[in-house]
Amino acid sequence: MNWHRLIEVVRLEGLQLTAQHLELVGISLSIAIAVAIPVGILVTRPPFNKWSLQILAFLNTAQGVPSLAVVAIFLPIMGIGRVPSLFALTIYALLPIARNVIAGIEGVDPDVLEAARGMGMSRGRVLTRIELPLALPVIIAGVQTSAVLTVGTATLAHLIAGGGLGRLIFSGISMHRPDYIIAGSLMTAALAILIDQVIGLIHRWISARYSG
Amino acid sequence: MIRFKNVTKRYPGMVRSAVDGLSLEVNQGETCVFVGPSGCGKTTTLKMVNRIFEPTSGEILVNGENILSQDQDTLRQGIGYVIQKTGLFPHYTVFENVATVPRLLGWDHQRINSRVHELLRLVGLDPDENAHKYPRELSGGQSQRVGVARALAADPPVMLMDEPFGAVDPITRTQLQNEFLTLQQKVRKTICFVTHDIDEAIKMGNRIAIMNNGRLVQYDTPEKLLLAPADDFVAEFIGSDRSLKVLSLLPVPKVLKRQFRVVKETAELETVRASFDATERNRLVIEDENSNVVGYVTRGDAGKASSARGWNRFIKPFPTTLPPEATLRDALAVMLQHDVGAIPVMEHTRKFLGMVYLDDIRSYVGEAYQESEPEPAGEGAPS
Ligand SMILES: Nc1ncnc2c1ncn2[C@@H]1O[C@H](COP(=O)(O)OP(=O)(O)O)[C@@H](O)[C@H]1O
Ligand SMILES: [Mg+2]
Repeated sequence: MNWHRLIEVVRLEGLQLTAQHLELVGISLSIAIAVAIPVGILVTRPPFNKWSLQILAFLNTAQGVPSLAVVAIFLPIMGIGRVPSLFALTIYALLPIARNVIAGIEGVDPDVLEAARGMGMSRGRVLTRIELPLALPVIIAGVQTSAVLTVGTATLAHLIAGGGLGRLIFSGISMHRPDYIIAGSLMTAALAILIDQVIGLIHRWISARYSG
Repeated sequence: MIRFKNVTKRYPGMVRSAVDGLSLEVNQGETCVFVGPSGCGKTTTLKMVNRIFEPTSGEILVNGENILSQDQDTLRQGIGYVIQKTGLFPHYTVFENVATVPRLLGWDHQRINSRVHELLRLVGLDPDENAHKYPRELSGGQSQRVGVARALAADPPVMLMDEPFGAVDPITRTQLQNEFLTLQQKVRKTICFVTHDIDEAIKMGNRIAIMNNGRLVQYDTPEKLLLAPADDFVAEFIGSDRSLKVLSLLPVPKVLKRQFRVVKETAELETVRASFDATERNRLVIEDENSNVVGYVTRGDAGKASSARGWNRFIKPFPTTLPPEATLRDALAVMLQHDVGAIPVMEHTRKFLGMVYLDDIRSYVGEAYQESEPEPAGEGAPS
């Protein structure tokens, strides 16, 4: 193994696989955000808000299920390929976002809510003008966690023929090619760090604007 | 203006009613203070007015209209609401916080802008300096001022205030109380004010509703409450120093002796002697050309004077004076401090109004207690 071979691997397959990987992450994360935010909001509305603590606890526990297990669970149900991969990734990405949407909204100062309602703001307006903006930093932190997690988990998509950087890693393992393994791992890690930094930047910007 | 008709509130799962058969009326432009020990139902009472809680039975009328017949949000937009922890929106600037209700009401930008500036000035905050701050940049007292401005924004006829000055230090509290009294002189809102502090209740209220265990125990003016507590609970809640507290409610003009001979400092000795002959008192008040008080002369000193104008050198300045809006409590404090039995009361222009005497304070308060306590049971009545 040497640097030349590593660079060669990256040049020949890495860039295309990275694009594929990003696509997996981007699609599943987008769907996860689109689903988790309304679901999270719903959980904080009556009558569901009575159980919001239990739901939060469930989501925390569910997060503990290994990502490999999630992929394995969906294999017999959905078969292999891109769609099952996206499905499994989306489910996994949902959890931290939904959890933070609920925690963020539940964490809004009750006095602020009482003042808002007491002044005659409608429930909808309280949600859009008060609760969501104040929960936004927490929600974005959830997206950040979810994104980093999904970049890593997406390497497993290769196991069910979903593509992505996992292919470098897993073919490296089966073909005894450490350069493949290292190239795949490094690129995955770099991607995770990059995404983490970008969302972190947004998070800091929003927090500065909205923190109380 | 605000009328509670046999209002009862029982929370689900509670044995006892939080508010039990409350009936009272708050007059237009008056402040009604709900006071009582923690858990007696003050906050519950207040929150039923803007329908944060619904009464279990009974009804509440605002401006003669049952609050249940109005749209909840519309009702609330017409009722100013101030709470102890302010509930300012942390992600809104001071300007945006104050503009909340006007925006709900769809005012145009120009009108909101001028109203917010007017209100910030009204509560003693410089708009240029504060309008763009966020709540986290404000002190406790400033936050409460913004809270009051926000509640007043759309000029609601009714205000609900739940321990609005409860979370600030004593000095700021006194300052906010005084400012609010001045403000209320201008805006004349109908106010329900909740506190657990009887001194604050006496200071802020036109009427005080004392509650205990969800029931209204006494509803009276502060003076009546102090002079004639309805029962032992009220007497104890007011405290054993109620005779002192009543002093802080009575302005000095109540006991002022006005029939005083006032002599110009340019007068002849003849005039001075004649004035002493015509009065029992041993002092004459002396004023200058412009009717400003310069001091007094005693009967003895006037006797020593020989030349027509020589008596002038016996004029002594009063060690201290009181303005007419001072209370008997102020008068008493000043008397003790300067070790005198009488103090002149004069306007800010130094025009003489009269004298207040220690003996008159004692007898006035004594009589007040006797009038309101016909039975000889004389707790607290000074002899
Ligand atoms: N939301 C609520 N649910 C159930 N009980 C309540 C609620 N709010 C107040 N209570 C109870 O009602 C009683 C009166 O409370 P409250 O009106 O807050 O009293 P205060 O403001 O005089 O301290 C108390 O016993 C309190 O525990
Ligand atoms: Mg209370």
